[in-house]
Formats: sequence, structure tokens, C-alpha cells
Amino acid sequence: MAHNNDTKQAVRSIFWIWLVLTIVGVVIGIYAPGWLMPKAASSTMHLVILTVIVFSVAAAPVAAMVYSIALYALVKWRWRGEGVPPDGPNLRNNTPLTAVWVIGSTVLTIFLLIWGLAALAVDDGGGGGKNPMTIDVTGQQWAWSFSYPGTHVSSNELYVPVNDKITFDVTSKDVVHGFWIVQMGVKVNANPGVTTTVSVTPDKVGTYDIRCTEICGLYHAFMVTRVKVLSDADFSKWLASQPSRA
Amino acid sequence: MSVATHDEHATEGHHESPEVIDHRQRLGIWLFIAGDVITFSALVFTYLYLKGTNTTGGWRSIVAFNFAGLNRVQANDLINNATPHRVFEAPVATGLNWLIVAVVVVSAALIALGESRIRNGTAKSFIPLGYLAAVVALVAGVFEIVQMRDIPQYFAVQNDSQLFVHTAYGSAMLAFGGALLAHLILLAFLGVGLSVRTSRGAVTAEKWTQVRLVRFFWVWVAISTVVTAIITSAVK
Amino acid sequence: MTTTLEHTAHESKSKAGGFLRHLNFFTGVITGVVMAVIFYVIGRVTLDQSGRGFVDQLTTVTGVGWVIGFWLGIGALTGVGKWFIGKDQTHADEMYLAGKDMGKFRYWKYTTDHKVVGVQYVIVTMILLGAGGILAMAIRTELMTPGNHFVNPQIYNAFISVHGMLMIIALIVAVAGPWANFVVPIMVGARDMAFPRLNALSLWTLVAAIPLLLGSLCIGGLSMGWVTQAPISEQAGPGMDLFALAIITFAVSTTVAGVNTICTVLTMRTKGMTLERLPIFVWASMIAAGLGLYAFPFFLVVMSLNLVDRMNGTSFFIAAGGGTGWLQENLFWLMGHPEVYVILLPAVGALFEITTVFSRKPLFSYRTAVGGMAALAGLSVLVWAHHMFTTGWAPTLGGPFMLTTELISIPTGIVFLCILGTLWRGNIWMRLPMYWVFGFVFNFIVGGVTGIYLSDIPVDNQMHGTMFVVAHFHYVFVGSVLFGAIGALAFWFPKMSGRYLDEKLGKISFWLTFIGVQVTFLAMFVSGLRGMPRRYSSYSIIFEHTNFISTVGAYIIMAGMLVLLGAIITSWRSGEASGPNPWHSKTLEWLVPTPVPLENFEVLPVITEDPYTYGEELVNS
Repeated sequence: MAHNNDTKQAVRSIFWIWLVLTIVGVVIGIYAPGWLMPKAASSTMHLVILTVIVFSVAAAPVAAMVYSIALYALVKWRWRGEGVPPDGPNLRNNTPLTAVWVIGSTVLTIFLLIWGLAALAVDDGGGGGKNPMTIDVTGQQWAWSFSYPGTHVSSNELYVPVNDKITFDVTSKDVVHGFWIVQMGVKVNANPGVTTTVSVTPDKVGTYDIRCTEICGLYHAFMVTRVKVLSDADFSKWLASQPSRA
Repeated sequence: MSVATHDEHATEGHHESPEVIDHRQRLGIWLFIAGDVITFSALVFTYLYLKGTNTTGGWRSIVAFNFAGLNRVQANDLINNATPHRVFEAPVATGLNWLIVAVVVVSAALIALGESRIRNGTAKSFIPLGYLAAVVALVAGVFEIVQMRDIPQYFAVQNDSQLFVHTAYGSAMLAFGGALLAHLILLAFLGVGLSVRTSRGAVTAEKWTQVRLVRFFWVWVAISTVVTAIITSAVK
Repeated sequence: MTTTLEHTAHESKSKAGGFLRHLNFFTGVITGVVMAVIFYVIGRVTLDQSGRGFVDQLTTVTGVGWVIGFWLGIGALTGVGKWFIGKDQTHADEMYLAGKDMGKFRYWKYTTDHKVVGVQYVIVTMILLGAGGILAMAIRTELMTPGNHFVNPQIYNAFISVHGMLMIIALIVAVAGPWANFVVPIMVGARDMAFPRLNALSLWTLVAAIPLLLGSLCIGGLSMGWVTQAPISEQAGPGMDLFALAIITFAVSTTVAGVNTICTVLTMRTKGMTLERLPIFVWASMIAAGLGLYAFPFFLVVMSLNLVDRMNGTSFFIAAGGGTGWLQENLFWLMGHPEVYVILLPAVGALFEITTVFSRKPLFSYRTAVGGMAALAGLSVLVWAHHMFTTGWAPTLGGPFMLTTELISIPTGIVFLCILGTLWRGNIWMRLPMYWVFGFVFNFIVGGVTGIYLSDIPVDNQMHGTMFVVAHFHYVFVGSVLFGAIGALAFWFPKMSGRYLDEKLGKISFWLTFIGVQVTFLAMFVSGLRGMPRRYSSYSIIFEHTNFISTVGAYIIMAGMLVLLGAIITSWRSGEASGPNPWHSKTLEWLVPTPVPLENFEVLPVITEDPYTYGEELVNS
């Protein structure tokens, strides 16, 4: 029958468009996240970037399929005659196709979910390091303050040693703030009245950014500060040099 | 779409039968009640959530001055001469809670009785019942106001600013009370309206379905007071 | 019409409509302002001026005065009053209310005819989109360069709050307002909505909310964003009171409209219009209305609690008094996520409808489409906490909410299946509405895929609160829902006005908007990926280029919208006449004359098959 040939022709063409788009999507998915996202300074952030890459690669064939069918329809099945086009074929359903589509998207969803749960399980803030430490973080309109329990030291910039697991106990004095270390992929809100906790192990010496991510009033955009990741020796030196504010 | 037309429907459309209209209105009122159930559930959620979270230990206690029963001068003295301390708040009287339930249930029963009278053909006997149900609903409202006034407000000092605050418990009780009060006023309006309509002949033994719609809503309000009383008695 | 037969001797003494003859939009505004002033004065005299919440109480009282006054002045409460004193409206009164023989002025009145309400909703939607769009342009202009140059941070914060809320409201009503009112009753073969007066009430209550929302801008200090996160919303200036009141008013409007839509579909269908023969847009409207009925009570409650916190010193969201901001966030997102689908579903339904007509094919897999939309609605009530992954609330619930969120991609896939399946081997007629369908397919993939990243908790920990999220939901709301809404406008415009929406201008508008969306929001994705938080009035120099590109893109969208506005105005006045069924569609609304007569059908139709019989002759022959 004529339209069987039509269908075969369509499927073949769509497959080639799909293949090209998928390859383009996969290439973008592999390279773009690493290029666009901040350079990772913790294992958590490495995991985040990897997840974005994996999801992009997984999404590329799906998006490519939708785009290739739509593109083919737009070009080949477009009515180029005058006036109202004649009716198309009376295709009301195709149960196997619907089933394949739904099962396919379910399988993909389950894969994403398993990946997500695994990532969640792996992501416990990284290894323990030699001396895991806790830092109290307090948000207040519109500045952060960090205090180091047991030392009476507090600071408006964050100093942490490299390769040690840092646990942040985060709270707020007034409204909700968002505590985010951009290059380390950790974020938790600072809520008044309660303490929330997040852990991360910085794995690269350097200077990174902390930005507030919950709107907190007039100078929300200026509630930014730095985190300096130091070697163990430098960190001890810094800590000793700080005036005690007991 | 293929459409066939039949002449006998020409007359049907413009004048729908009372049964059709009643069916539609019943669905409408059930949907409104469904929305109201969601609203009420949100308040229950609020109550239980605040109790469960108990932020800063503030469910039924607060770091503040208790100035319940004091006049302005005495309150000022208290603020100037005492340091804030943790004040523990007593739960509202369970008895009053259940009294409100009883009164609302009685008003619902009156409307239901009135409805059955109308359906039995004695429309005029609805008139006193409708008025009475409205009055009883308002009595419940008065009790509710008494209960809401009993919830103390504290004078707290926080971050150098002075504020009057309720505890989380008091706040949640006020939310229940305020919502019920609004409903009771609406019920009283509906009850009086139905009685007026009956005396004007707009509600009769043949045209009684509006009474049933109001009764649905009234019974739901009664149920919500029962649920409120159970929750606030069991979880304090 | 033969309704004059109804007149009896005693009715002819007083003219039909009675007191309502004197009421219209303008008396509504006047009464509203007068009542606002009266309430303001009463408030000043009676309220405790030394109390902490005095300003908030006074603002709220004034706002309530406006709403009640507007209702009184436009006649919304007249029917209630007449009911109370036992004088029901006569049939002649109802005909007057429906705008019989009234001419153009019926658009300014409390008119119950669903077609009038539909037109009014088009105008209101355009006003909302226009106001929100102006704010969007102001925001993008501020963000064109780093640093605060155009507006100060306080005004910026007010702009983002009101921009968000205006656009959310605009999109909630963008399809469901005009078309669920104008089209759905005709589609199911009814003479009007189930409750015509409630229909007018929902429209005019929405209108009453607009001045409150815009007024909240003028009395400043809106520092909280549209999600009104507590306790920043407790700290915000008195504008927050009007903001909350506007939303409470809007929640009432939406609930009323939702009940009306559901009752219309369930009880007003004509003979033979079984649920299986319903046009898909009717299903979409009904499911969205039901979902709204679930969602908006939470909106009402969360805003009410915020308001009493501010006015009366309760501690729902204040930690010092034992409350918690997490309660606000839970209640808000219990509303907030279903609301996304309240917005999306009618647009999807309209796009399904357009796709079948312009592909000349039946909707592919009708039952799957209905099931998919129902599944979207059902799942959407179970996913609210994915907005709260980084709040620190209940980290153990992260896994379950990640599951429910990712499950949503299955019914979303069904939406694509049904559109693509309908396009498959069709004869695709590329008229203006179809452009927006293809635009939707393109944009919704981008919006959907980026949503999957955000559903993953480790990624969300990085992306939450950044421009990435903003770009994601703008791809959904602008790229998908607004495209659907404009497609629906282009599709049903001939039925509403009797004229085509100008194809040439419409296509220029499409390309400008489509390109503008890509430029703006792809660049915004990059801003977000590189680490720019949202709601920043000023930003680091490293985000300079992408923000500049986004601003240019936003201006292109604005150009597209202005061209569309021009197309609407010129086409409405002097467009090409279309006739009753320009697209040769088979749904009922195209089979009645244009303009649609007051009660839609001379004779109610009897339905014998569904409206998707394209190509059946080919099969049978």
C-alpha cells in the first residue's frame, strides 16, 4: 500500500535526522556543562557536573526524537496546496506505539531516579580527612559570619583547610538566607530559629564564592563573601593569628 | 461533528426542569464544600505542623512578659522592672471547645428539622426554625469569641524591638476560631435568608431544594467543629 | 428569541434588570474608591494607633473596603441581596443581565453571558500581561549592566515580586479565562455556563484584585519575591498587605470559576455528548479547574496567615513565637506546584485542539491524552517539596519527592506523543495557530529537560535559587504556556470577532517572540550555570555578557508582543472576515453562527460521534 511506503520513507529520514541531532546533543551535553559551570572545588561539585553531563546525554536522544519528527512533519507533511487541506489518514491510536513510548519514558525515568538516589547516597560531603571540623554559619541582613567552635574565632570571610570534611551549622538572625558555596555545590537555607546542616570536603586550594540565594531584602545582591581554602599549615597559621572574640 | 436535531428539544432548552437545576446546584455546593474542606485541612495542617516543629520550644511557651489581665500601667511596670522569662501557656478550655461543638450541632439539627418539615409540606413551620438556627449559630459565634479572647497575648522583646505576640499554639487556635466565626456569620445569613424567603413564598413545599443546599453546608461546618475539637483536645 | 413571552403584567411595571440598570464598571470603581476611603477613615478612628500592626491593619481594612465597594458598585451583591429578601430575579431580569439587546456597553457591566465574560477575560489577560511585561522590561533593563543603575534595590525587589505575581495570575487566566468561558459551554452544547452570575463574579473579582496588586507597588517595601517567603514577608512594607489581599481576592475568583467550569462540563452537556466525545480542550479545562479547586485554598490560607501575623501579632511564621517559615513554604508550595499545571493544562488542551484541526487528523490516542492530563494533575499534588530541597526541611523526604517529581516526565512525554502522533502523516496546514504549536514543541522540550536536572537533589543543591531555575520556568511559562495561549487566541479569534487575526503581523510576532525567547533564556541558563543567583539587582562582572544578551532578547520579545497587540487591534477593527468556520473544524463552537447568538443554539444539538472524524470517509470508502 502507498502509505506503508510513505511511513517507511518517513521513518528512515527521521532516523537520520535523529541521529545527527543526537550526536550534536551528546557532544554539547558532554562538553558544555564542564565549560559553563564553575570549576569544581569539591567532590560534591564533581558529582553535580557529572550528573548534569549524564542527564544531558540521556536527554539528547529524547529531545532529538521529538525535534526530528516535528521537523520532518513541518517540511514533508506540510500542505502546500491552496485552501483547506484534505483530511489526513484516520489514525486514532496505535496501542503498541503508545505502550512503547510510555514504557520507554518509564525506563528512562527509573534510570534517572536510580542515578539520583545513588548520587544522593554517595554524596555525604566527601571523605573524612584527618580532622573533620564544624563551623557555625550565621546569616544576618546582609552579611555572613563564621565562627569556629572551641576557638572563639569568628570571621566575615570563610577560611577552611583543604581535604578535611567541614560541617556547616547554618542559622539566621533575622530572615531566611541561602548559604551557597558556588564552586563546591553545597547549598542550604539559613532559617531563623533552627539550625540546618550541610557538609563538604574542599579538595582544591584557592578562593571561591559564597552567595546568598534566598531573597532577604534590600541588599540581597550584596550578601556575598569569599571562602579561602588553605593548606593545613596555612589554616593553622591563620587560626592562630586571629584575635579571639570571646 | 455530526449533529442531528430533534424538534422536541426546542422547548426543553430554554426552561430546564427543576430537577436538572437542583442536580447542578447540588454538584456546585459539593464542589464549594470540597474547596472549604481543603481550606480547613490547611488549617489542621498548620496546627499539627506547628505542634510538631515546636520551633525554639515555642509551641505553648514563649520568652516574654505575661501581661494577661494587667492594665497598661501595670504592664509598663512589668516591662520596666522584670526581665523576660519563659511563660507557659495553658491550653484553652476543652469544655468550651465541646460546648461550641454542641451548639453548632444543635443549629445544624434545627435546619435539618426545618428541611424535613418543608419536605413534608408544612413550609411555614420552617420560618421559626430558620431564625432559631441562625440565632443558635450566632450564640456559638459568641462562645467562639469568648474563647478567642481567652487566648493570651504576650509582650516580647526580641532583637531590641518590642512586640505583642501569640504563641504558635495561640496563633493556630485563633486561626480555627476566626475561620469558624466567618462560617457561622455566613450560616446565620443563610438561615435568616431562608426564613425570610419562606415567609415571602420564595421557598415552598414545592421549591425547597435550596434548604437542602444550605443544610449540606451547615452540616459540614458542624463536622468541621467536631474535627477541630477532637484535634485540639487530643493534641495540645 | 422568544423570551418576551415571559413578561407578565406586573413585571412590565418595573424595567427588566431593576437597580442593576444603573450599575456598571464605572459605578463599581467609584463605589470602590468611596468605600475604601470610608473604611480608611473608620480604621483610623477605631484602630489602636499605637499598636505594632496598625499600619497593616489600616492598609488591609482599606483594601477590603475597595473590594466590597467594587462588588457593591458593579452589582455583584445585588443578586445576593435579592435572594435574602426573597425577591428572585425574573427571567426578564436574567436576560437583561445576560446583556440582551444592550450593544457594546454590556462589556462594561456585570454581564452574565459567557461570551461577554470570555471577551472581558481576553482584555483583562492582556492588561495583566502588559503590566507584568512592563515590569519585566524594567527588570531586564536594570540587569543589562552590573551594578544598580536603572532602579534602586528596593524598587527592584518590588518589581520582581509584582512581576512574578502578575504573570502567574495572567497565565492562570490566559487560556482558562477567555476560552474555558467563551468556548467550553458551546463545545459541550450548552446555552451558558452552569452558574452565569458566578461567572461574572469570578471575572469582576479578578478585576478587583488588579488595583490591589498594582497598588502594592506604590506603597513600597515589597522585599519578598512572589513566593512571599516568611519571615521576609513579615518584614516587608505595607505593600505586602495589599499583595496578600490581592491574592486572597484572586483565590476567591479562581475557586468560583473552577466550580463553574466543572459544573458546566458535568451537568450541561447536550444529548449524546458523552464524556468520551468531549473535545479534548474541555477535558483539559475541567481537569485544570478541579486542580485549581484543590490548590487555591492553600493560597488563601497561606496569605491569610501571613496577613494576621502582620496585623495581629500571631506567630505562624515567626520563629521567636514558635512558628516557622517552613510552614509558609509548605503551604505555599502545596498550592504552588499544582498551580503550574492549572496554568499548563488548558494551554496543552488548546494546542491539542489546534493540532488536530490543522493536521486534518483525529487526536492521536485520545484516551491516553486524557489519562496523561489526569496523571499530570494527580502527580502535581505530590511533588511540592521539590521546591524545598535546599530549605533544610525534612532531608529524609528528599528521595520520595525526587521520585514523584521524576514520574511527572512520563505524562509529559504523553503530551508530546499525542501532538507528534497527530502530526504524523497529516496534511499540515501552516496557518498562524500552527506556528505556535511548533514553537511550543520546541520550547517545552527545553523547559521539560531542564526540569529533570532540577529534580535531582545534588544538582538542585547547586542550581536552586539561581538564574537556571528562572530560565527553566520561563521556558515553561513563556515558551510553552504563553505560546499556547497565543495559539489559542489565533485559533478562536475568528469565532470571537468574526475576523482572522492578521496572519502577516501574527507571523512576524511569532518569529520575534520565538527568537527572543531563545536569546533571553538560553543566555539566562548560562548565567545560572555559571553561578548567578536569582533576584539579584546587581551582579558580579563575570555575568555581564550573558545578562546583556538576555536583556537584548527580552526587548525582542517585547517587540513581538507589541506587534501581536497591533495585530489584535487592527484585526479586531478591520481584519479579513472569516465566516463561522474558517478552519473547517468539527467541534460545536464552529458550527454555530458568528457572532454567536445570545443563547448559542437555536435548537440544542444531539451528538452522535466525537469531533475527530477526520479521514473517516477515506476509511469507509
